[in-house]
Amino acid sequence: MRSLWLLLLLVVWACESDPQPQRPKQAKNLCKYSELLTITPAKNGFLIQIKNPEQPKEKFSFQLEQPFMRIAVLSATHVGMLSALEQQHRLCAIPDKRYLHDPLIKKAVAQGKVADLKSAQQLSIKKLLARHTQALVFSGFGPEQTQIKRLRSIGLTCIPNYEWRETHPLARAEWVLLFGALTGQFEKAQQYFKQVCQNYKRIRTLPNLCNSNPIVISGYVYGDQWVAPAANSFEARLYADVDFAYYFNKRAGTGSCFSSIQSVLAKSTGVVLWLNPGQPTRAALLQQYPKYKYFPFFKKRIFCYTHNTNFYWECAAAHPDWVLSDLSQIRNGNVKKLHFYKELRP
Amino acid sequence: MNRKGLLLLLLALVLLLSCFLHIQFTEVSSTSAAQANVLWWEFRFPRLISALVAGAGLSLSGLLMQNLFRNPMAGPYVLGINSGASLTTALLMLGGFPLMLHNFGLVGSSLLGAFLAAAFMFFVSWRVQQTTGLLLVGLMFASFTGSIESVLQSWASPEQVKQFFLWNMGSLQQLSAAQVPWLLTLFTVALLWSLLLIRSLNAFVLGQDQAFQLGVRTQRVRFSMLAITALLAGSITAYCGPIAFVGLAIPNLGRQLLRTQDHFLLIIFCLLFGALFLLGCDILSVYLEPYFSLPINVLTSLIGAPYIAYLVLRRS
Amino acid sequence: MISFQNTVIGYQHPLIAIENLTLHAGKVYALLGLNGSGKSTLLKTLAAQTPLLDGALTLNHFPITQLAKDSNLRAQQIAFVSSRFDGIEHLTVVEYVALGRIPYLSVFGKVTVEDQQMVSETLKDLGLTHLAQKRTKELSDGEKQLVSLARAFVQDTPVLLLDEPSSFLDFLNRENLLLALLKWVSRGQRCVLLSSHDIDLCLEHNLPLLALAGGQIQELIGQDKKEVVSVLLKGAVH
Repeated sequence: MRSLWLLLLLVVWACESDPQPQRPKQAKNLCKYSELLTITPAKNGFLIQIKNPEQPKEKFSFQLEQPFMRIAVLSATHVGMLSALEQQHRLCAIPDKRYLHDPLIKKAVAQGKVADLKSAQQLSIKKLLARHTQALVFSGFGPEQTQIKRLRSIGLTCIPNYEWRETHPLARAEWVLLFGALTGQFEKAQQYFKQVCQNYKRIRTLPNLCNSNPIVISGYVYGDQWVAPAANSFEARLYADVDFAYYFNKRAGTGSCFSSIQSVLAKSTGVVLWLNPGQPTRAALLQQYPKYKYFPFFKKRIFCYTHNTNFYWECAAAHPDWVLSDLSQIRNGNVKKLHFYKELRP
Repeated sequence: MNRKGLLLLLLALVLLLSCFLHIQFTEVSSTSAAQANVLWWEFRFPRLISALVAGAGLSLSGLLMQNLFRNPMAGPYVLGINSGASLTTALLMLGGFPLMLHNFGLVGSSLLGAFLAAAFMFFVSWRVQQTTGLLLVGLMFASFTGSIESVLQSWASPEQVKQFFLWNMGSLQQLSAAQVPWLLTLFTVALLWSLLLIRSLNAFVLGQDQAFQLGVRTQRVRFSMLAITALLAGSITAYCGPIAFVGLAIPNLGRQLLRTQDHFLLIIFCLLFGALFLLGCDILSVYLEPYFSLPINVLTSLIGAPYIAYLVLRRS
Repeated sequence: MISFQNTVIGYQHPLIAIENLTLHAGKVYALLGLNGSGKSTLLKTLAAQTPLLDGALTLNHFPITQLAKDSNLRAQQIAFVSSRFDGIEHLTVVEYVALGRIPYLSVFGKVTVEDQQMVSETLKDLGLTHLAQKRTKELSDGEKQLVSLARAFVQDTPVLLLDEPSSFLDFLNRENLLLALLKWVSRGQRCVLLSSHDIDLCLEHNLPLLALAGGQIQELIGQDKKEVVSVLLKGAVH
């Protein structure tokens, strides 16, 4: 019993000793968590600097003086960030209407007020220009660099968004500040983010009603491998923050980790919870990969967001507190109101 | 004769050794006996069978095709028989019948596609006498099915496209224990059938006219060869996805190493070396797993393609 | 050995009509005729590859229709040597010659010791023993043709058909070929029919000639070259 208390104490201590990122003193960086985004006040607005995680030396920076009225985005996450600030009306183009959740934007697309670009990989420059686009926010893996260069050469501000490369869920959510700056709603964004942080920390310190840290696995079979978030990813951070013993917490990396299916099966007896298998039902899981039935945790509790995938992809980045709340409820076994997740009925 | 027999014996021994090696390599320490049982019967054993049957079967069908078309560059892949199987599978996967997958739907449709493609090639071979013309038709057919698959992909959901993409990469690990008997049965039927053809295959080496003069019922044998190829390529493609270069490379290697056109020896070689080749590729992929993961199709192409290129260069 | 009766031969439409003709055992017949006169069609009909249009044709007492149906029997009765053998990659001479035994083998194509003996004896007869282990692709044109002949001999049939066997050979090899054929028919109940453009060679060896012209066949024995040529040209005038 004593050792358990010690463990609990240790966990709490580990949680408290959050990375309070150390920043160089000279600039008053308004971002506290993000490793890639820096926003500093400048005389007529903001200086925005974005590090490319692939090439750390390469830094995109620009001086923002005037908020943009017409913004095109290339990822559902960006839509969610704008929605969080209630700035949907500034959207002029979205990546693909099939992946939209926000009913307001869906309606706007249906009415033709917002352009559907259909593919982030093959940008229609014509469509962007026809909508008088002023700024384009793109994910690092999106369109080809040549297209971005061409767009920049004709005066469009193209801003890379690496929120998905952050390793802390709050750092991810902090990118809402970028959208705040772009839309002239910086203070609102700060308010919003502050609230998210408070919620997040409050949920993190909610009591763990489990006797121990439940072993949790995440991911799914892709081809001949098991794909899951690696130990240093923001997902793993979320799991740690609700005292989950994450199955892959020895697999270093900030992105995905790959394991052989057999090795996952062989060491999975203790797993009591399976998160994000990527399918909305157990039947669908078996149909995708029939051998799931041999995994002991297939018979345990399974939770996923796939009953409403679009909602998750659009809103989870801006609402890490909701995700954490879901996970915390799942951990404690008394599920009251889940935001994203839903249990796959046995 | 002695040298050839010795080579085949050696090959058989190496294959046996590789089987043990494969069993060793795929072993994962597990927590309970029950789990070890599941791992063996549902994962490692079907994987071993997949490698053996796919390697042996594809090589055999390649040998038959090269014999039928008297062209060392022929194979189930080149003649569009794989494409036929691939097309019907694509229709199934992308056309919105996903429920039939993993049941007999996949195998049935793949077999059907292979048979239809083989029948089509049979019909064409009846009209187009030149082998080159036939190979061209086969390649046209392959690119035609490829474009239909692209069209289907543009309609399908991303989930379906992903599934089809994965199937297309080829895998020896998708076979389930319940499917093992089916694959083995189809393979055995095809193998026994082709053993009954050895005499005709030897005669076909001289071309179909000469084979006819030697008392071979050429029409019947042609049909049998295409049917066997469809059976092998269809079933293997259904369970393991399209696996490239094995069918093309192994029979050529056999003729080169054994220096013979005796199809009794060549069939044995194709069975042994084909199985050994895929098994070797799979052992390699297990060995490389901690560093990076390569789909089986990538491995077979990495090794097979340069060899074929070398053959082509040597011939010209 | 081979007998025609009111036979009509042709590929889809009639080309040659033969009222009555019998080819006897122990002889090498030479089939002469201009290009397009129907030599190949006649040979293909005899080989049961092209169906008879009308009438009767028997080989060694077997009606051709029966031979057409029973492929094994056919291959044990008729052997065929085409004008050119290009050689097959990786195929050695012994393997190639042994293929002549195919009509006598089981489905697994296993060559017996007797078969092998027959192959080596035939090679020895033709003076080809030194080529036995050579690959067929590496032979000279003359060697290829002789090796093809060996394969046909090994097939051990009463009837042997050769389609212009000498067209790619020099005079020495032509001589060798013909001598081998004459020696072969002299043993047992055998009959050879070869098509040729080489009138001199045929006359030199006193071969019975079958002149094919104007859709007719005429057996010529003892004529000189001039007469033979005039018979052959008759068809061209038509």
